[in-house]
Amino acid sequence: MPDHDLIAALAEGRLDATEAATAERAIAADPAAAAMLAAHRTALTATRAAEPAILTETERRDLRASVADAVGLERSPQPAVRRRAPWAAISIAAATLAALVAVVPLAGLLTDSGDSAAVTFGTTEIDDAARMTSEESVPPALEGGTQGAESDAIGDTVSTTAAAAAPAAESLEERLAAFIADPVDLEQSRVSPTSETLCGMEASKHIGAPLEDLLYAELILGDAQALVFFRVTEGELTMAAAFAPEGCLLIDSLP
Amino acid sequence: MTDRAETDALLVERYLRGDVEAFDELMRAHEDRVFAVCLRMLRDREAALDATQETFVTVFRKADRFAGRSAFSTWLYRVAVNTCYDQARRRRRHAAVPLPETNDPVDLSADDGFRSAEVRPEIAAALAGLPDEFRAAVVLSDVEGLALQTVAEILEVPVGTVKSRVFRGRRLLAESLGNLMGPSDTPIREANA
Repeated sequence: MPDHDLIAALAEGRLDATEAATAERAIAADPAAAAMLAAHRTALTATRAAEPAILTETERRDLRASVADAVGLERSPQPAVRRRAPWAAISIAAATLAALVAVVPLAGLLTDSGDSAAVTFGTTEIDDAARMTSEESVPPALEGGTQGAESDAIGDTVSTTAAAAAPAAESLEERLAAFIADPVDLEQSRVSPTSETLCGMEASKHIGAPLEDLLYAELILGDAQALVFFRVTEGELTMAAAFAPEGCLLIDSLP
Repeated sequence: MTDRAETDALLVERYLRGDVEAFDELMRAHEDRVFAVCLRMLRDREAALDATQETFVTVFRKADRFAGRSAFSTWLYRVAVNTCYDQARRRRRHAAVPLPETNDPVDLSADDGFRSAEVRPEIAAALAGLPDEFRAAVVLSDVEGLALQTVAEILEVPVGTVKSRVFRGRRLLAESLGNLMGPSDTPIREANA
């Protein structure tokens, strides 16, 4: 009778091919061991098929609030009702800024400076790029946010430089309008979040797509910050979710 | 010590200094897994939420006693499992409200609108049929994928005991799922006695 450890190891797939073949032969010759192996495999198949149990955003928010309250932690007051940011501004900013990373001719924008707004893709900062999202578009929930505090959590690094020539344009707003009128292939601007990306898990759950299918932009507007995850289908922004980095609270989503 | 364990240890230190962000980060890093363990242990969403909350409250209240000899997560899951044991015992004592046959339906009224994926009902029922200590071992090892050594530390039993519990738990689970085929060397009831 093969020992239990061997049967368990075989069922779990921890043996190399040679060991597994030897174990299979030994176990096959012993009906009791074969039955035991079958039981292990049945149980493992069942338990491994279990999808992750996850909290809903409401449960997550309530849990954090109740635990914080129970331990006497003073946290920033959470809005009872989800505040809505002007999604149009954020989605336009996210899509446009994602395009900025990929589209070299627009790198001329990068040389602009003097505005506190910035967007970070990985380690790339694009000054002025978020100017089109006006100050009033900053979600109230984000005011006083933790600018840059979580930038290390971003997995991908996209090196974008301002070296390429860019056609001159009169203003940022005009360049933005040009983007909207003639969208670039956003797929090429893929900046994929990783499992280490802050709020990535929440975004994946909310959008209902694996992280690798999403694009990601970190939006910094003055003192506020939003982590924007979005999905592009046939060049169109189809789904998106923006989170405040602190607590990964959903700011807004599309649709 | 793993990166996660080191990060957690630093976060606990920051939390003890009153850093609210450290609290949030610890919650964010572990709340889903603690909830998952509790849900599989208790099979009831509300009970699992209660147990998850109780676990974190306990851990944060006693954070100053976390000596860092083991990973924060090990300590956290130990508290979670013990909390679930206590909950299960309390619920059995109040057996007027029977354990549900299936998981509670997902709260579709939640404004966020996504469904939480959970273990299939027949698997949940089979897991629920395991003795508590077997269920804990199977959940931590096979469902959550933790190493046997980690499970042993969480359950505070020798690794050999974990192996035995997982081994027997799987057999019971397979039997419960109706797929235990062929003869066995030891009758399960006897092995479980």
